[in-house]
Amino acid sequence: MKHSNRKTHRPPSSLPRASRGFAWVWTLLGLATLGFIAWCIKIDYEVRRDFEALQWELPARIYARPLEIYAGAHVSAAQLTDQLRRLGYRETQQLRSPGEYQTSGTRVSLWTRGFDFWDGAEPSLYVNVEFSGSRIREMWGDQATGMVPLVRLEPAEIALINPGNGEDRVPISLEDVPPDLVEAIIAVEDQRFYTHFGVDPIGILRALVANVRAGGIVQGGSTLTQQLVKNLYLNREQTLRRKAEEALMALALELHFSKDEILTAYLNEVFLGQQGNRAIHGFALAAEFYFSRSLDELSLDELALLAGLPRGASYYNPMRFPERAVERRNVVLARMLSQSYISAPDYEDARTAELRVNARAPRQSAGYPAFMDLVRNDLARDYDAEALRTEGLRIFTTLDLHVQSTMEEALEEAVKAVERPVSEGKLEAAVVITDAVTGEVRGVAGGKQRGYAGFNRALNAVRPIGSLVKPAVYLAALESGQFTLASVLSDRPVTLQSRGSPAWSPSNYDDKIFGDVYLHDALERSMNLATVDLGMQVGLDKVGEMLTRLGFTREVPQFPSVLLGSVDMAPVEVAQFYQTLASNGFRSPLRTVEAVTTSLGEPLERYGIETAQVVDPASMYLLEYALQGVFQRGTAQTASNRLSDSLPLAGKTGTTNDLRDSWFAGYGDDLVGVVWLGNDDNSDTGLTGATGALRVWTEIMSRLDIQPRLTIPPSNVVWQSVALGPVRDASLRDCRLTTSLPFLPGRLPDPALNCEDDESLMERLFDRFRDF
Amino acid sequence: MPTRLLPVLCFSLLSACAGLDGGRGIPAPVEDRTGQPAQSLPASPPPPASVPARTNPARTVVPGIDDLPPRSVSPGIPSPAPAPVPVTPAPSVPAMPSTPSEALLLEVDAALANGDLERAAAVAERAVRIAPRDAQLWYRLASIRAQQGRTDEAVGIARRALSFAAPDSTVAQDITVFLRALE
Repeated sequence: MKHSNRKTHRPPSSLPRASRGFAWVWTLLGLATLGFIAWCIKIDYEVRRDFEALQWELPARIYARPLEIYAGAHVSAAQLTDQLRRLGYRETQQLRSPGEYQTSGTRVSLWTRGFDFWDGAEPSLYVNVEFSGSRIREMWGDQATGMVPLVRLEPAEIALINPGNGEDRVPISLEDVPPDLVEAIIAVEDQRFYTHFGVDPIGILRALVANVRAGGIVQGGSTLTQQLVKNLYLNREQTLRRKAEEALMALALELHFSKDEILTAYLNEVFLGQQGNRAIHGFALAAEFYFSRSLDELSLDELALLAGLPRGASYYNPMRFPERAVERRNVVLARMLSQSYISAPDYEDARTAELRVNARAPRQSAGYPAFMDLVRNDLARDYDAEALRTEGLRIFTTLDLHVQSTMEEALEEAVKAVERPVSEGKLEAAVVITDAVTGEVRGVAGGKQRGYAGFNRALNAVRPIGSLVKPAVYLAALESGQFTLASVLSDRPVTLQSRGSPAWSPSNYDDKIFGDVYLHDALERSMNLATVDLGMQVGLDKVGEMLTRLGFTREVPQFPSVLLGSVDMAPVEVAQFYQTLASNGFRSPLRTVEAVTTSLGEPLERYGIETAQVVDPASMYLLEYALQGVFQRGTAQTASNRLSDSLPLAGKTGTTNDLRDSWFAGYGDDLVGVVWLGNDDNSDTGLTGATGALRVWTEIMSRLDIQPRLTIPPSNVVWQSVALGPVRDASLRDCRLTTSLPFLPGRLPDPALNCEDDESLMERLFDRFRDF
Repeated sequence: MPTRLLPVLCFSLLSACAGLDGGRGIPAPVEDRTGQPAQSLPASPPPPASVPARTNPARTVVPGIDDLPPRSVSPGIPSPAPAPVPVTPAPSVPAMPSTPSEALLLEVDAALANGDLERAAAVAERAVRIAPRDAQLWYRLASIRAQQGRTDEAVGIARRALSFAAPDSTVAQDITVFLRALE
């Protein structure tokens, strides 16, 4: 509306007498009228064009994984009620509507709201859930529904990807707006909304009188239509011209669009609150923002409170100024009563109702920044930034809020507990937790602090992984068919020459030398020299290839020092590597996004479970024997007390040169966890994998009640007894003490160690008789 | 307060000039790109579960090979991939589902009956997440992927199914046959 209009305020002369002197006046008047008409046409055209094309820029909504409730689920009552509160469910004595729950003893009764998921609609259901310890024992509905096999709660919103203007809204259509709210708004903002033409002369006169009497502005005469026009198309300038424009546009809007269309636009447009740089627009979002509930779940007093906000969302902010908000609410209620929208008893109930808004705004995009980085990476493959900021996509992620918040709660304290003075309080951490079966990411921390939004170490701290690499070395060896768990390795000092690099003389962590050792023992106790012995026999190329198969996508350098972990990975890359181990040799790409729908819930993309077998199950089984041995006999033995209920578990410690990085990667049947500790300046932490990361991992995983490994042995695996002490010469075999290990047929233990064969049995019997 | 009166003065003039443009447009005050009216997230009653989900054509429709399983691969072997027939033996699925898996397998059947393969896969995956070591459920997912022509994925998932099946069990034999047909 940048055209200037020419108009005069001088009243047209009514003199009939034609005179030359007045000719120019008439000309001017005619021009002014023409100009004014042109201006009207322009405004009319623009209003129509813009309002027809009105389309909100809607932020993408990111959801956590929904909680699945069923008999046998590993969900405690506390976990369920925690999730319900997060979703804004209200605890009541008697369930009357969706969004409420009730607890009594070991039972939680709830009425779910239902939700449109990618794979179909989840109905709103009333269910009773009976708990037994940390599991659900059974679940049933009312007499009509009987036993209920499965219920999925609605997913919690964890973040928004905001449009550039920071506006957030949840568009709603008029039939979904409670009539009480519409009446409250009309009563307080625009009594004659359904009868005026866009401007309300009576309203203006009344406001004028009231303002003159009060000696200041106490009432506005703007109609809802004018307010809408002002918000949509005009700036805040208070000039005569702007006022005229506003009125003309309001009239134009009314001329071309129905009252319902205008009202709907108003209900979705109006500004109702602010949270940081996020502007809360529209009543549907305001209901969630202030009450954590949907509009149709609100009572009369709550609707009246919202209806009072357009007058001044900051001034009447119920979170910050509850008294003002209640006062304003009661004004709205009084208007509703005086205009006969509500009865006197309803008025009295609502007027005295206690204000129950959220204490503070629900946690939003700042909540899970490290996880959101992964989500953005995953989405970037299929969606551009503009689509994410404006199209209102719904993005369903794999984040498990229970896992994430349990991990965050434990992390900072656990890091503090292991930190050595040498780190001077700057020891940092990264954690990645994934589903051991599907590769879905359940929780991520990019730093030790809760909700830390800076440098995302889980994604970007690319560090040497130390002994975490060893499972790849041993797996390559076991798969080659030339080694068994009872192969004897040499743990003795060596010096390796490789072309183009200086001679390399590795040593064990504490400079110990173990001599002849069993292969499984060398992995369990993380012996460096024995690993170099094994790796050089297997071949560096085979080790590199194994890392690639296990899911490492960058090139593996071909130096002997790779055998001890001089290969750099980010924690999330380590998680991919160990994910494949936890899935028994099936590689599934780590995922954070499960599905995307439109703002209306129509399915768009889905990212399903993918899995490919990359290692044979028998070799995996042998490797896992040793990785479970890490907890039972090896470097993670210190954790076995704390985790006694969860054993057997599998895992590996990792420490890098000069104690710069402390790693632990481990898994149970349900979860894989990777913990990295280190200083950002890459200085000495004073921590090994066992004294640092393992303890943090243990703290987190015991709180998550990680489930023991129940790996089924492949049918071809056989168990054989071997001598406890490894020897290379059959004449030295000592079968008095034996240990039983898994083997593959055709790859049985060396005869020098095998205490299973008939001969040795005979010898043992013979020995026994001889002793008598 | 003269500014308040100006609009009123302009009113009659405007009515005239606004009319010059004639015709009522179809307003779409609350619309997204699909052109359908928006609604609140959980407020409206959910549509019936049988409404077929629209899948992304780019991923799910592979022209020409939608009709797996490839029965021709190994003649003489009993038909491996039971196309729309439930993999689970019929007697184990009662009319009223009592376990999550049973309930979800019925949903898988419903989606398949609607020809909505990707939704069937989504529901099967939901079942797999709930019972991750159930060979039947993985096998079911594999057979849906095979029907979609996503053979590589079907093979990977079927092998996973096999890794959870008790050796020599019926399901293990079924999966072995299924895999042989795919490869």
